[in-house]
Amino acid sequence: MNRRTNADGLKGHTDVTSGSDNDNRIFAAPFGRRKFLALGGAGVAALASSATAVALIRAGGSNPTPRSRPPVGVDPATGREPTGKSAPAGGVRHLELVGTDGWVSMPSRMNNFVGPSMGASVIDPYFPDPLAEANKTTFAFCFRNVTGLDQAQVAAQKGHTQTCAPLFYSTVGEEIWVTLTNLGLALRPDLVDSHTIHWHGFRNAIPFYDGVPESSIAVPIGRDFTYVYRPEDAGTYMYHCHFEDVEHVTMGMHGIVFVKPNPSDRVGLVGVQQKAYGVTDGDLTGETRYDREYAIMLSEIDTRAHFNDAHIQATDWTDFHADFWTMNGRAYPDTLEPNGVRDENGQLYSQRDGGVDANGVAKLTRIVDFTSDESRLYSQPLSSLVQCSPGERILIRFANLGFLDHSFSFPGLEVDVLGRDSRYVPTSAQRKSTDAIQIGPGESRDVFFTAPAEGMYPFFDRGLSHYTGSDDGTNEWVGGQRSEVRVIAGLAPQLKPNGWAGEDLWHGEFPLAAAHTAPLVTATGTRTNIPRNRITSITGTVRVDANVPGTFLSNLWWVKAPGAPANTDAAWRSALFTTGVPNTFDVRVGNGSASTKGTYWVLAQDSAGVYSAPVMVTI
Amino acid sequence: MNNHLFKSGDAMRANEPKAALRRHHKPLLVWLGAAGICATAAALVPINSTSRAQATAETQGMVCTYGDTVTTPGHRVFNLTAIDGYTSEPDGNAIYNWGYAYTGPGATGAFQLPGPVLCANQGDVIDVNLTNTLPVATSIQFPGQNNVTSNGTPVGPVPDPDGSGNLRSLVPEAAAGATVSYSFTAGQAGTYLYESGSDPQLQVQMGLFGAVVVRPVGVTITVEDLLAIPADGPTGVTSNGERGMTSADAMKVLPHAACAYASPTVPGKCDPLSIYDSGRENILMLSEVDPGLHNFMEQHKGTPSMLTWNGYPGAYEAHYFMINGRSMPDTIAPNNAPWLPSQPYGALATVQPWDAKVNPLDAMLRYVGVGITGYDFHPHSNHEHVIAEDGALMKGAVSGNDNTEEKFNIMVAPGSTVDATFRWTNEEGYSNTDGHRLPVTWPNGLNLTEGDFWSGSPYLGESGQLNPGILGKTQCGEYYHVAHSHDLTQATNYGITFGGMLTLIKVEPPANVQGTLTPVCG
Repeated sequence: MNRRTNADGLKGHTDVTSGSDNDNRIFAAPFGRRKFLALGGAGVAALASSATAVALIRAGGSNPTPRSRPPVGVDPATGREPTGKSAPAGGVRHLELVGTDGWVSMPSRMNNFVGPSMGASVIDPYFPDPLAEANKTTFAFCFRNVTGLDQAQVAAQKGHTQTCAPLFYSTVGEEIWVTLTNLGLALRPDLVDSHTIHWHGFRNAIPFYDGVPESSIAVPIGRDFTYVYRPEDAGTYMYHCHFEDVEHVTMGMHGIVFVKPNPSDRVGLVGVQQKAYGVTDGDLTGETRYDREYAIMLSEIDTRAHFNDAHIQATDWTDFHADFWTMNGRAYPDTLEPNGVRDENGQLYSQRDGGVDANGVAKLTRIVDFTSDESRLYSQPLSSLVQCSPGERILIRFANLGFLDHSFSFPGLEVDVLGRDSRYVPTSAQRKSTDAIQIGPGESRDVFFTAPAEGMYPFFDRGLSHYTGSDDGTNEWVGGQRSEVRVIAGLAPQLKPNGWAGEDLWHGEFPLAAAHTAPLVTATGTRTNIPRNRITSITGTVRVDANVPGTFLSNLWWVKAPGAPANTDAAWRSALFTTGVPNTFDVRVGNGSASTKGTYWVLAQDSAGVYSAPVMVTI
Repeated sequence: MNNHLFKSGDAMRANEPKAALRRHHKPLLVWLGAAGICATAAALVPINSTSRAQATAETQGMVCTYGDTVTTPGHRVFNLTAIDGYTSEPDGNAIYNWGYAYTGPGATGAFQLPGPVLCANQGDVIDVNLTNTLPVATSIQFPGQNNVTSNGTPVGPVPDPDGSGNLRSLVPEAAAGATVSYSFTAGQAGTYLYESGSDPQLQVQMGLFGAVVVRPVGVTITVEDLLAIPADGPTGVTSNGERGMTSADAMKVLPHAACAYASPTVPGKCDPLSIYDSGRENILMLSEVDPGLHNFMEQHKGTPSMLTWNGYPGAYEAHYFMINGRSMPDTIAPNNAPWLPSQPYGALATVQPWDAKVNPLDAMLRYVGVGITGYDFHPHSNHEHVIAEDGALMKGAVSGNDNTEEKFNIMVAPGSTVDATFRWTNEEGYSNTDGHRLPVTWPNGLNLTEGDFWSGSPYLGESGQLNPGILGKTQCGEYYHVAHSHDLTQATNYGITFGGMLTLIKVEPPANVQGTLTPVCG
């Protein structure tokens, strides 16, 4: 089992479909090694490299059928509808989202985390909401990224919100599938709202994939639907639910999606630089190149409206009054907090106090106490802190899905707006080096600057009334849109947007399915349990795709017993493959503790070291 | 045709692009959404447009009012009346308003919201005579028009006669029951606002506004011009000429080409980005209503001065948001819909997929920001190309530098106007034939929530089975996209979604996509 803790192994073989790791992506359906490790656990170090933004799976396995699968109606051989359009040269990505609800945390004086004078005043009775979970304050709807999870894992996300919605991105030339599953609302079972995904600004959309329920379709509770996009224009876009839009959007179902130019377009770039717009977008010289990028979603929270939704009250949306002004779902000072994430086991991770790795990249550390102050922001995982080194070119992608205008000021920085509404601003039309960036509801801006000397440079919404303030009046800069640019010499290159820790799997980086081949291995069914003579026998079937290059070895089946520590090697034991029948297993675990009743996980490993999707078995 | 008058031999005709030959669209016979309560019964009555007088023909697109042409060519007279009346909201509320009514020949002079769109050619002399039937003094100011005179003298601010030095009005006004005249020369092509200059924070809110549209003169559009219309994106690429348009194709569509702005650099030519389809010209006057304020004014018709502005601004809160005086779903009803007698202007925009050979011309959208806040208007399905603001083409007058831009969100500031072109391209060419279908099939409709503007098929020009209870408001498999304020609180009727400042873009299937389907959509 030690090999699973091998860091080299973690950084290798990430793409199980192609056998190549050059793009550090994993196909959605099978649990690759990395996912397996995240699931099985091999100590903190391993998890730090494998955690994903997918969350709790602790719920029981009453329905163990894996969910990860191509959408309805695809040909297993090609992954596409048999008579449908062919895939573009850039390949296909498949993101799986759910829509549900849950609780988020705004900076309240009730939370010690933000300090006694840093929290916002109580807004009685709306804020903090008395129904809220520990350390949370505010009811919210959400999208969550569940790419690669099985059906039980997906179902367990109900009630676990994330605000803002997962950041995701693509490149020109790819095709993106976004499967949306509506889990319903945990707190409001009476509210049978459908959900949709509207990619705001997507050009020449057909209504079917535009997500407006009145002019096409929406996804009812318990159902899913796959949207297909073939982006041709780079830029910063956004996406949100359009079902009863005013409510669902402001309740949290909004996020940024951006499109990078075709990777083959390297005009004007040096080293690992990227650029926001390509030659085909009109940037002929690579002027929009950057060393680091940050995406910041702007919105507001009217605590009365959120309270009303939690308490089965109606809201007059034309009476909207914001209490919190948010960046990536957080309000200052939370905007400065590091990125955080949950893995499939419900473990929480944060870059907070995690130090840096050998490359100087902030590491994730596990938050042990689920109810600790440190876990307060687990529903709002995305940081707005900008970190860079002197002389670097920085891109901040702003998008506004609030209802108000926002105007950002950057004292000490000379910023250029080189993109508006996902269009490169031609050189002839550029207004250079401005000090305030106005961003209206539904607009996006691509803001560039060159990092100056070391130091801290705040940036904030110049609408200074946009701060809730605290009871004692000692700090009026609370609860608003404010963050910082920290210029620090010698930072390692940025690997992922928003200074994410360089993980291959995170809430913004979803897997590439090269040519969209069918899943390698999926467990399609399981059953049961024969506890006998302290031997537990677990049987089931595993479907192995005909294209799978490897074969499953009879002695490489792994079982995790119930109650075992989630993230230790000891949790996983090898088991025997006894039946000899291809694609069928009968796993017997021979020691006493294995006969414990509970939920077991079973998975297979092929000769290439690739693991199958885990099969959940309840005994 | 136009709403009010189109005289044979009108000097306008020569320059009027076939704009006037606006296509008559069948109204959506059953168009009301669930929010449309009060007018449902009327809406269910099919309207035979051919049986109605031309002055009230149900049409789509911008309705021009051309005024009375006097004997001198290029001299137009618009007789307006400031008058009060009621508009209806989709939730059944009736709102008391003030407005400018048109009292020229062929018009009833009845209250309407907004005021008529005054159309003229660049260089025309415009006389506007305002008769005031309101209980308060009122006026009209013409932002963007130079050298406006009133009764022969240049207009200017009017101090309060009480000698206090306070400003009474921005322009000369007509006392209650009196009249006032204004005159100006339409100097520059473009889209402009006109509105009350008296107590404007109240009177404009009460509905005293309209638009002026001035068309360029002395510009020509040739076949070569159509071939050379630049494509969006990198410079040097043409939109049509490099995508299959031939001279013969251009010749066919030439009669439909209209011009919004003259070229800033080439005398006598239309600016290529402002060439549009004369049959697809739309105006969107964006405004809002605080029903509490209007209710107060209704109850104090005789004593409007009882409104205390030192207290009212803090209490102001708009709950209705309009395009051309209507809120969704009324916005998609045709012009002159009989069930909206005082709100004659619709906002449904109809297009067909762009095609270099047979449908190469963009639609024109003229936005007018009437309300007291800016509006961020988001057209779904494609960017719009913003070519002008406040009646000024966004190109350098000397350098020709192109400052136009494509936006997926049109910011219309208070009191300003924005002109933008729009096209929708069937980029993926999805259709129900082998090799062109969607990459994945989709769940049975019973596993989806369907909308009333959904045809049942994702393919343009095709319809499918709809779930029980779905009204099915499409006619021939056309697409509908929404376009709305992205302050989503404004895309509501008093907080109820899919209302307010929201309208639809109708993408009709071209004939060759419709296949066996008949009849032609709309």
